[in-house]
Amino acid sequence: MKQDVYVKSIVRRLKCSGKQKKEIRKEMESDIQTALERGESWEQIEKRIGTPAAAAAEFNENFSEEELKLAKRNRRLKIAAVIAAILAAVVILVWQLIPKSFSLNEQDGGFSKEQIVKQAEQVVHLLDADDFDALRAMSTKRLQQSMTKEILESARQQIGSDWGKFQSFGSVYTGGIDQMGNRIAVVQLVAVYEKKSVTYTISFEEDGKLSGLYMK
Amino acid sequence: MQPKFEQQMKKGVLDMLVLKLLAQEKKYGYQLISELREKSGEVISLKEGTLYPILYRLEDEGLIESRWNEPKGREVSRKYYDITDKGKQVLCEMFTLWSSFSETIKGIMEEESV
Repeated sequence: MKQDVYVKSIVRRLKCSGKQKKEIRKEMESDIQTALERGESWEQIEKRIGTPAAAAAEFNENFSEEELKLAKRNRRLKIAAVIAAILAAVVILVWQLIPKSFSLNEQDGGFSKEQIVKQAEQVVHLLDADDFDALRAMSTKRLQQSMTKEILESARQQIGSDWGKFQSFGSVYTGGIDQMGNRIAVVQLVAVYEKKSVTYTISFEEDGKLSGLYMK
Repeated sequence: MQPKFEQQMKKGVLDMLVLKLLAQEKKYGYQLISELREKSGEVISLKEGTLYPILYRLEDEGLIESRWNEPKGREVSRKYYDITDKGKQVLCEMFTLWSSFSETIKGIMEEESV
């Protein structure tokens, strides 16, 4: 084994403080160098000191109680620090994953409240007109897959078979959700038909793309 | 001789022997190991794993002090240990105790056995 690897291998196994390990390493390297200068071969030195495991075991057997206690305490502190760092990282990650809501003011970053409401009303009109192509064109790639006649018809059927003609829009609520920097505007819009009132929850991404559509 | 018994007996005197060698002049680790081996006729063959903890303990107790020297030219830097005044006093006490102890033990061991 090479000299530096040999010494490192002993020091790694020592049950003492980091400061003591540094000192022992420096002293061993110095004494080994002196032994080589005095004519001992590296093989003779290795044989005299013993294998790294045996040499370290001898050190550990002879360390004072205080040194062993200090090493144990330092090891516990290191473990506690690592656990604390992991927990902090987990908390930060979970915090970032939790969606945070924000209120949509008249102009909030990329969102204009008025514009968003108008867009939501447009979505309702396009739905009523069965203009699925137009709806798909304004949707995100993920939502486009759900913008089919079959899926939307099925959703409508769950509310009722015949809604009658569209009459007017009722109450409107707006809000925003921020998840890991991804901001979404949400509009809850009541559409009044001849025979039914339907509440739409429509969401848009900051680039204006339709990202969610729910009706009840 | 039983290796464990031999080890136990030697351990009892190592502190005193190390202090004695340092009382003569300051020395570094390898020097102490070599001298102990030579002066004891190879009876006391210390390894680093035994010597260094002894030195650190004696230093913590204020009986010896250490200093790394400034190497000259291509010389390797060495950590020299030297005995303190407190160490000299304790060495005296240790030797007195050892002398009395070994006389007592010798007396008992030389009694005739039945």
